[in-house]
Amino acid sequence: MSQFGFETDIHNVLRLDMPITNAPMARWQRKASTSSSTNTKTTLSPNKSVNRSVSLSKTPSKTPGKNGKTQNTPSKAGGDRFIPTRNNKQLDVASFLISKENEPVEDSSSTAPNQKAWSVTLNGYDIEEAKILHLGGKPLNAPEGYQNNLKVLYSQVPTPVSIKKSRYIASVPERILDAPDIKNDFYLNLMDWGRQNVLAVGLANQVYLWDAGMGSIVLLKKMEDDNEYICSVSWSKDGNFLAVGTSDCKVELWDVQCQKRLRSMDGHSARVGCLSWNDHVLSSGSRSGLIHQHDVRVADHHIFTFGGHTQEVCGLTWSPDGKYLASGGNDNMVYIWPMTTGSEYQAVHALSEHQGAVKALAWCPWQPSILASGGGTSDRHIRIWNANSGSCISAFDTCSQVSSLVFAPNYKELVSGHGFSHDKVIIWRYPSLTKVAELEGHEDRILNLAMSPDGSTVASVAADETIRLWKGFEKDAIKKPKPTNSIIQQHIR
Amino acid sequence: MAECDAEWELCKENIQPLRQGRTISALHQALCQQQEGNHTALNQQKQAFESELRMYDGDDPLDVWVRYIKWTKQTFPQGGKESNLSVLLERAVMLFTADKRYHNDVRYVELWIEFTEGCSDPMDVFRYMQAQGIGTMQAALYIAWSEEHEKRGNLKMADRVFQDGVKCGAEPVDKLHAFHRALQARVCRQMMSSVTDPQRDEDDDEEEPQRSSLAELKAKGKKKAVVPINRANASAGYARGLQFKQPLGPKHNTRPVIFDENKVPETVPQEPKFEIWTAPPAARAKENEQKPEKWSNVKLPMKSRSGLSVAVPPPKPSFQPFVEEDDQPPAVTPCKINPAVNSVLSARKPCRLEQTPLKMLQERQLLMQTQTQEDGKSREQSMYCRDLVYSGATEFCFEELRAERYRQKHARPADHSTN
Repeated sequence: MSQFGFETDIHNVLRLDMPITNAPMARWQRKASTSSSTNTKTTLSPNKSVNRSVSLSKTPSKTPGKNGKTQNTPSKAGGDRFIPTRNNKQLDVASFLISKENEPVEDSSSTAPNQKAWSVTLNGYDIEEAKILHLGGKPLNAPEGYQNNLKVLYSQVPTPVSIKKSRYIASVPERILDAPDIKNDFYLNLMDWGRQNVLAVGLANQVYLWDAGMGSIVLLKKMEDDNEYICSVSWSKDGNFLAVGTSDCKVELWDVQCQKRLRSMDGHSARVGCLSWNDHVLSSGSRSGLIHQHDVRVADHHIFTFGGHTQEVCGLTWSPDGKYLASGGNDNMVYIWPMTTGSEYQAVHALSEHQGAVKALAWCPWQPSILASGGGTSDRHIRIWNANSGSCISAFDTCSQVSSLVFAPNYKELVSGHGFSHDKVIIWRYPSLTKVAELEGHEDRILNLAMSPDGSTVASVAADETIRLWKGFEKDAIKKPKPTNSIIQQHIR
Repeated sequence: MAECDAEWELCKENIQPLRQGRTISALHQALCQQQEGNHTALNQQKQAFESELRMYDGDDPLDVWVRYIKWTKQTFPQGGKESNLSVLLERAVMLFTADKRYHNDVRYVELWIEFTEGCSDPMDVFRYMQAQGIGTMQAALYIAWSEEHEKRGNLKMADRVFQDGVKCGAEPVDKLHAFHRALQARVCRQMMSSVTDPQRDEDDDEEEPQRSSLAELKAKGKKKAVVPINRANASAGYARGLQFKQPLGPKHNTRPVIFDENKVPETVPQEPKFEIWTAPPAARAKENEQKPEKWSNVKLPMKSRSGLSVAVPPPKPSFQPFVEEDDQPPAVTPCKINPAVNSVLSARKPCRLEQTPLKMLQERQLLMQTQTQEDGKSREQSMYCRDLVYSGATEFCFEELRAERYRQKHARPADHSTN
């Protein structure tokens, strides 16, 4: 009897005026169904989580504790864990119902019960009363042996280094400094290394300066109120001035030579978690999501405000040429703002590919307009962007919360500091982005990285209350230049 | 700022993901308390747990520990030092190693497994557990162990661990079988995908300069021989071998004959014998760890490109910031820290890195052994309730113990009167 079925199928296909039952949807049908189903707020591809959170205030990804499957669903035809089965018939009905709403109602009350009876027999249920899209069936089980890739959040996976190193990188820190009472908060930027080889660290409510050349320690500032704490420190470009952001919404400017506080700038309504200098302009980002620009030379310091983030701003850096300001926030967005003196306060680019808070931001010192950004616990990716075009050049997974990024110009490398779950400093070769070395040693998550001014050492501060100095980037002593055998010299002789 | 429905979202990066997830109510409470800076309620609860640890006189002391650890994990979402979680785990694990009745208790085995996740070498701990018989009847041990093997890519061992578990008859059997099947499915899938995918060629390796092993390093500079930092292609062109004189000795042909295992026919594979460990493995290898040191002892002068240290004169500031007229001088004037006087940023006291809990257990075991050898003559005997004082994560003082006893005494007649 099955041959009859086959024959009818062949006839149907050849006749071309009846809908083909077993074939995939025709293109026009697919288009109709996508337009109708987006109206009904069910996406056909749940793999792409909705990322734009400018209008929504909730971040789209799952809570870090749950074992969500949004990123890695086993792809069966039309079915997954959230929308079990969708078949063509349902989508036809759905599109019909949607489009019907827009048409004018026909006035045919006499034939209504007849029509209703027919539609019930034809469809098997009353379409008018039914839901537009009815999801039935059991959710699919994962294939046997399916392992959720979120396991990396709870446990460390020892990964092999991909290539043989070309130089010696010490696997233990050169020195370890004690940093007691450091606040274990991802959103703060408590360490910066200045041009004059001085490391500034904010510990609880105090700012300490460590002169790396002399080894001396200076307590620069202690806040009066013990409940307040230091939120961010940042050196100016020449290393003369230190900007300190505090939890009582102030930005203070200190002169380190005289060890005197020069001014205290307010204007923010929440704690100032990140700071960045661009010559004489100091940008400060706060928990309110606003970024203020201060001109420190004039009394009325607040020049303008960039607004765009909807949650705390945790990463802020100016590009080395001063053209762009990159900011990352807890709302998973990265904005690139232009250097404006006029009145345009619009972001040049709004990058939404990250799925976790973006604190790690770094501009490439030797290639213009290249920005590297790292995402938080839910994202774990490092992405490289071209700031001129706003496109993502490359992205790779690091299996762990990225809390800080610095570029190491001596060997053209990118260094990343990580938090949950493996607390390591990883050195990647740029631009091939292969792993050069993993530096272990911290016992708790790494909060910040800072590069020494001569580019030879990376300092990492972690929640285990230590600062470790990793000396992996020393340049060789330059060779003496060979004596030039210039013809002129020989001739003169 | 947009008002979020979920408070936790504002600090989502500070929440450490837990394998078993977090209860949202506990998370809310913890975050609220942290925001307000209100530590008293937390401390009170902690105190309550600690005193319960000491005063408990029921049948199941492990229960108190388990509840305390669960509460700690939920209440301190960042992990970190204030939670004392690692200390608690270590103590709990240590206390009951000798207690046979807990050896196959699911909760105790899970505490051990959590403890291994914080160790630097989990394999050692698993082997120790197997040798001591802790958790050998629990499927959880084998599942966690084979997961470790799988993470390191050692699929054969992972499979063997499951087989061991089945042989020992671990409970619950279904779970063990299910995980075993899952592992086998993964292995098959991996093999199939590696067969079907074309081999990717590695161009990068050839482009990058590679270091060759055991090649001689050229020294740089005339006067000082400095080993180059960039050591790629460091072959000097010829390798000088060091000349050694052969020791003159009797030259018989008395080479020891080495047993050839290939000749002997394979007998039934023997059961691997478990060596009895004299002491449990240390949580952290103390010789591989560095302690933090005084900031003032560390000097890192900047090096210029020539490799010499350079003292950079402070450049003139490129702009002059506006200086406010400040009426009040700051409360604490900036000052230099003398590390001898002010202990901030000085060398950290050697914390439990050296005194790892397992090392303490090791010492205790050795002590007990030597005691029994000396006819039960112990060197010292503490006349105070040492166990009670040091039982939990933090020390209790005698007044606190007394207060607990007082409270319990007064609670009992109240119970009796109501009954």
